[in-house]
Amino acid sequence: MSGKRRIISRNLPEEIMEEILHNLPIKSLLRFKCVSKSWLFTISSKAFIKEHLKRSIAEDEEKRGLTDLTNHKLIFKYESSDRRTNAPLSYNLGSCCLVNKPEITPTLNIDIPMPTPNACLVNIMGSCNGLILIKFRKLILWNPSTRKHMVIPSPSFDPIPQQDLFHVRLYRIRYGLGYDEANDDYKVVSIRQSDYQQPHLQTKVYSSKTDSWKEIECSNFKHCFQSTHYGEYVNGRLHWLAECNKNRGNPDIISFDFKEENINEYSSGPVSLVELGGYLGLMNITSDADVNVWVMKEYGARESWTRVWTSSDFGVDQLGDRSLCRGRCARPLCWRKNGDMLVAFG
Amino acid sequence: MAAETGTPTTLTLKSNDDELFSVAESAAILSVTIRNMVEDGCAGGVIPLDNVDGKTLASVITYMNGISAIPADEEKKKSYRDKFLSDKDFETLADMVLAANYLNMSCLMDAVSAKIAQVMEKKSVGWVRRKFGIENDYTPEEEAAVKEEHKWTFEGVETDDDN
Repeated sequence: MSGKRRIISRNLPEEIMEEILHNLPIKSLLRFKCVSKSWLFTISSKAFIKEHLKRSIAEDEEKRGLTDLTNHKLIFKYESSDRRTNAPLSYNLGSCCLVNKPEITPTLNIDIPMPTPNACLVNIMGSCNGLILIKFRKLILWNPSTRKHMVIPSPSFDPIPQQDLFHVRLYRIRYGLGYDEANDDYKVVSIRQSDYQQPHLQTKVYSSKTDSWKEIECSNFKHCFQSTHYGEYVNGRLHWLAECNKNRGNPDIISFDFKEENINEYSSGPVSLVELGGYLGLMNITSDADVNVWVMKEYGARESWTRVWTSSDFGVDQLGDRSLCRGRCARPLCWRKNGDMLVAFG
Repeated sequence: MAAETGTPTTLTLKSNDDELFSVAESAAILSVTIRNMVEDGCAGGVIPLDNVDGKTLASVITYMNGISAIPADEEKKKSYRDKFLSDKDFETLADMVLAANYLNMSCLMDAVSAKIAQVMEKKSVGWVRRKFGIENDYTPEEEAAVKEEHKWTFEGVETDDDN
């Protein structure tokens, strides 16, 4: 038998061997890097890693009967086990099943791989595809499955203006982690904002591919983030609630797109409650005057909320005048189980 | 297994050690390789399967009959597959994954691959080398370096007590 084949095996060709390896958990795969150089090569290859991640996500979704909801998000909690003795901290990582009871099952107990002189400063800033972004003085990107981590250089924001130096605490920096699938690049977004006197906003994006930060233009952005929460990662974008001065109390949804590297806002607009022929409905009008209608199909069942109608989907030919179905001109009156909806226009 | 209408067609399959097997066409066409032969009209006489031995083919046919008798119910099919593979040893599984690949039966291929992975999961590096006939081409220093990098993955490995 030739020693040149990438996987020399008694009778299993390389593609079958790879198929089998895709079914193994990460711990076994890392151990089997020791089998031979060709196995090390195969298991370490980018294509293999991507395929393995893809399958794990698909399997997760199949098991939970969900799509796009879990996305390998880890549920984590970290706590100091003993304050008096300064014993090492324990970090629990687990997955959470969203279908049944919201039980969190700790599956792992791993120490975050760094010294812990002051635990209060450990912050988890986000997670995506099983990776976790931690702020522990430095920014750290951690993969608990492989137990490897890398330190990300800190972003260099503009110096704080002289007159604000006493209010440094008002300059808040938020971080977020995301994956740019088109460029196969894990990115960290960092937004520094200050509400003090001169509203200030500066945004930087780190690319793990180039290992560098770059500035993102956001001078038109006038919103103020509502909380320090690290944001919700959905569909390649990170989302926060933020409000602008002219519209206090009515937050908009702000998203950062990791592929386009830009900030977008979706005005969630005013939401109103409507009764739709025995069904409880919610109506909202977006900033571009589109009307969305949700219905609680089964009363009391929160998961039965379904968007049943969007005015802009309504064909022009059905109505003749498109302007009629925009904005407050459209008023939903009744929804029926077969999907029919009665809407008053004008 | 009889179809509700008409007489079920039976195919004759021949293993590479010249054993002959009869199987209902409706079950045999789970194999895309066999289905293509049937569609091309090459299945009139005996279908030779040059890459599968008699013992493995008998097992594959048991699977074909079993799984095609289950109506479209993924849960039940899955539990049938699990039960079917539960008592198979490593060598049998290796033969089956080759046969499933040759016969182009993706459902069996996926199930056997997953089963082999399940068997391998907690095994040692030495066990894997022996079972798959893989030559260790590392120098002792290189191997020690790779092992050192992933030290924690060697916790909880089973001892190689089976052959």
